Amino acid sequence: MPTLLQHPSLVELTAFSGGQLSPDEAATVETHIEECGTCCETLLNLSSDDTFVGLLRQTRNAEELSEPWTDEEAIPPSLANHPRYHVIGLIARGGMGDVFQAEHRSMGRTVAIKVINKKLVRDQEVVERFQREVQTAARLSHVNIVRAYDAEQIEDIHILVMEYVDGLSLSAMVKECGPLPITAACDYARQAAVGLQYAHEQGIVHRDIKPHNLMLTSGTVKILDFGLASLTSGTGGERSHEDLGDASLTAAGSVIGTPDFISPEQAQDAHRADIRSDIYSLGATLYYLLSGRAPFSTGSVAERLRSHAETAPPAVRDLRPEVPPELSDVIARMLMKDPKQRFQTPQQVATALAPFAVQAQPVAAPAPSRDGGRRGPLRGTLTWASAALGLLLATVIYVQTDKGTLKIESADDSVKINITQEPDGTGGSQLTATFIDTVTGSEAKRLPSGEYQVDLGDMKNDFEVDQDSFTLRRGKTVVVKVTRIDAQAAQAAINTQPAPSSKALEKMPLPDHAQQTLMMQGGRLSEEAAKALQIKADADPADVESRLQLLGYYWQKTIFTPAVREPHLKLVCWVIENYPESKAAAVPESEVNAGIDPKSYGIVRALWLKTIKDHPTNTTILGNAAKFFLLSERDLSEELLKKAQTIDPQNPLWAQDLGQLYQLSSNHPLSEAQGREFAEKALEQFELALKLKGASNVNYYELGYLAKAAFHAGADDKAKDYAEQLIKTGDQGEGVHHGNMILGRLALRAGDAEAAGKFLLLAGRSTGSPSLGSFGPNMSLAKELLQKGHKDVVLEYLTLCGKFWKNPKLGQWTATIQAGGVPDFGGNLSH
Amino acid sequence: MENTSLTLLGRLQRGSDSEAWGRVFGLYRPLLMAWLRKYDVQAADADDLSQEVLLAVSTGLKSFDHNGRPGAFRTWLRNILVNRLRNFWRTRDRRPLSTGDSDIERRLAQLEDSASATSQLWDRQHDLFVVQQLLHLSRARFSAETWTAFTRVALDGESPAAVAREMGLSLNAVFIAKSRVLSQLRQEASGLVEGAGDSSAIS
Repeated sequence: MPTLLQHPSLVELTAFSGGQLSPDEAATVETHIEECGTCCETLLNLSSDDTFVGLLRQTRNAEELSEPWTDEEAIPPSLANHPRYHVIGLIARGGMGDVFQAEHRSMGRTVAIKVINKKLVRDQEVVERFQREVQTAARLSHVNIVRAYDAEQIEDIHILVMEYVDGLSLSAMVKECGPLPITAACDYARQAAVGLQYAHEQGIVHRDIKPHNLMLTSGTVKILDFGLASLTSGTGGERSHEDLGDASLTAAGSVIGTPDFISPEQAQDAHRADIRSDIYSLGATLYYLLSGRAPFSTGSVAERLRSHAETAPPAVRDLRPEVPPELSDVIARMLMKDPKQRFQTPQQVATALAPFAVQAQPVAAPAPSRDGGRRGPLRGTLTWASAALGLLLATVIYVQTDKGTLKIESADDSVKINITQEPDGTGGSQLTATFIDTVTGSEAKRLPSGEYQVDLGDMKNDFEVDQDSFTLRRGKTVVVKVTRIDAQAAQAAINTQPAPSSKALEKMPLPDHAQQTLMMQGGRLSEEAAKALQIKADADPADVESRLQLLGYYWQKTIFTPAVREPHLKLVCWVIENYPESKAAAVPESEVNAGIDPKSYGIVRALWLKTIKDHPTNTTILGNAAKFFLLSERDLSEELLKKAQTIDPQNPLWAQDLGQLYQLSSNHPLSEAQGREFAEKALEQFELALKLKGASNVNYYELGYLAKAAFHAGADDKAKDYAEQLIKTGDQGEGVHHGNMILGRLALRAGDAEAAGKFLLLAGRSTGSPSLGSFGPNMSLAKELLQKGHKDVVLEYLTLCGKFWKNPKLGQWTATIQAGGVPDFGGNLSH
Repeated sequence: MENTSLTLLGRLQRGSDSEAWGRVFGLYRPLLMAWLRKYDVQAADADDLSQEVLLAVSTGLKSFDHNGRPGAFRTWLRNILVNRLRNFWRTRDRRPLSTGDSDIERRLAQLEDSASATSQLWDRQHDLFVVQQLLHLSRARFSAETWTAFTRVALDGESPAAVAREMGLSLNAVFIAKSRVLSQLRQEASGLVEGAGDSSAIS
């Protein structure tokens, strides 16, 4: 991989400064300016402000924005000043009121806050009933129910604080994707039934079950708005159909109060609604999920309500023939007019739907089936509070304790584990693990003291405890298994000491490309995911994958976040200590910048020197260390490469690397003579590499290095030879451009401006390349020709360049040249 | 980062109905409310009317053809706004209290005319508003240090050298901070705000 650093052009630096480069191009410049003080100087004097930056600056002018731009009406002032919640922004508006995303000021927990539409709570009686019902609903804690935390009145507004769910309603799913696959629809309805059963057991009825109120997040369905139906279902007594339709529609707009999913008895009298009304609504919902329409979806509100009471809807099978008759029957039974003829409990519905819900395939991309079991990377929420952590468990984690290492495994991510560590008063600490099955709400605690103390509470789960393991069951399913790893294995597991140097080197278990992929993936990790991965890595010293990902993650942040420098340093040391021969030890991720973080650099430097001392004849290690020292200590890097070359003289790699090192030096020489000297050394090494490799194996960019080094070293004949070979490689983009450029400059050096002009035009006939497309053509020969008065050929060259480089600079240069000037070609002179 | 559209407009267009709605809503409602009030719409009606406009936007988003013209989106939004306002005053049998019917009609005609000073004000305020929202939305994606360095250099026009010195950063770190944040903002704003530019390569 060529690490050759060339100055970016002025155009490119300007674009970089203004954030106008593609990520790849920007990364190249970022790497470059880390080393190049000259370009930093240039950047300092550049003005990259365009209209967009001007626009951004205007936002600093508070006056201009004070009036219309803050929508004070959107966030009610009493909510904006809420003592416990910081409102982040509006998520959605609904008939019942606006929903805001907010964060608990001290806990940091993200919540959704629903501000109840004032029109719904004008009546004191309604307010009281609403508060009563929501407080009841707030006791519900179930995986299939959106958790309500709190309902309160602040000044004149009523708010409901709920669990924040990042997902999509089933209503939106159907609108987006059309009717759902049968297994998915049945699984979602089954999950909703499980949630309703739980609520039913607590004596709570929802009264407004509909697709809009079922949220899907990562394959889990969560019922929204428990307790809110009290706001729209009237204050009691008989209400006519027209009244109800009218009241709910005016009060709440078209979003809620839809009569499409309401049971006949509830339409007649809200007070008659019991759990069987929810079953009817769930039946209508499932009907909709499968057919894309509600059972009665035409006619006025009154007509539809009448149909609910009097007419049997068309069978689902008539609308969707592949629905099995048994399923069609289940839905018909849920939709019976007489509550007594329906299923009597949601549990019965869940059981009846289960056979159709197996192997549900996810409809939304990140929605794996609950029944399929989830493995793979650690996922779930991770919260840190002092020395406590809690996470949903869907994989294997290791926990270190004073009594050995615990291995905790579960394929069910509805199990939450909380681990807290507290001082025990004797200088040690006591670790407590609590397991919560969020499906049943049951909880188990365990102290790793050698004896298991399990608080069974009133849970229905079964436990099995033996000497070294502990199992939590839900029905027949094992949801958590904890085993204690034997003392020796545990000791090995927590042994994070570096391997003794006398030990034979271990081979990195992953191939090079896998190492690089992992580090790249790591760069994209979220903070939470990285924390989870760090815990996993800390518990398992054999976990190379996690460590490489973390290396990528921390490295990405080292420039801006000093806090990550320490964990990054540890991982760099881990790589060098354990796998000094690996690819991972030779990539930028394992570099530490001497300028940004000199202390860490010193540590890694010492480690590399020690590693070299321990393995003095290992050329791979010498080469990897040379890469580390290339930017900050080039002399040392050179020494190491030369040593490798002495040990392994037939390998062209060392010559190639040395050549690049010298070329890098020749780019920033202290004097012309020094530049020439480095160019000569570079040429010598590149030629040696060419000889060792065999001329037939050489590729175009190596020829490019050779031609350029020869040109700068003043070896004109060689430069001509390599440039001609470069053109002959058949690379129509780079080869043609750079080869002819060298030939043209050689011609001009020899005093033949006419020939130089011809080569310039040949260079312009390049078909372009990704590199030429972004950095643009080389303008050095054009400039030399202009200075000698050859205007026309340069203008023609610019026209040719326009075919592979779209840039307004070309037009500006053309205009300047036509007016008799010589443009400042900036960085286009050098590459 | 996903290899898909990074622009806010692209994400709006690709989102599901309810997502698109939520995003358009959160982003544009305050701007519309402000402009509706400029056209004498009372607060209660402005609420409904802004929902109408945004509903039209969210349903039309998928088929909205940007066609590479800068400012196409804000022009489209302005036209929807004019139509809904005109409809509002005509069909609801309401008259603004302070001004006459013809005055409203005249002002709406100005807003409709792309060359008028009113339209230019709309364009300017639209762009300013969107970038302000983007600044707000993007802040969380960067470390505090990056954001501060960016703000001081790019927004407040401070010297990168002084900022680097005072913040204890290397000079290149300051340039990188500025470049990264600006790049992100440009990508987000592309297609919505004039001058944000094409987010691919140098333009």
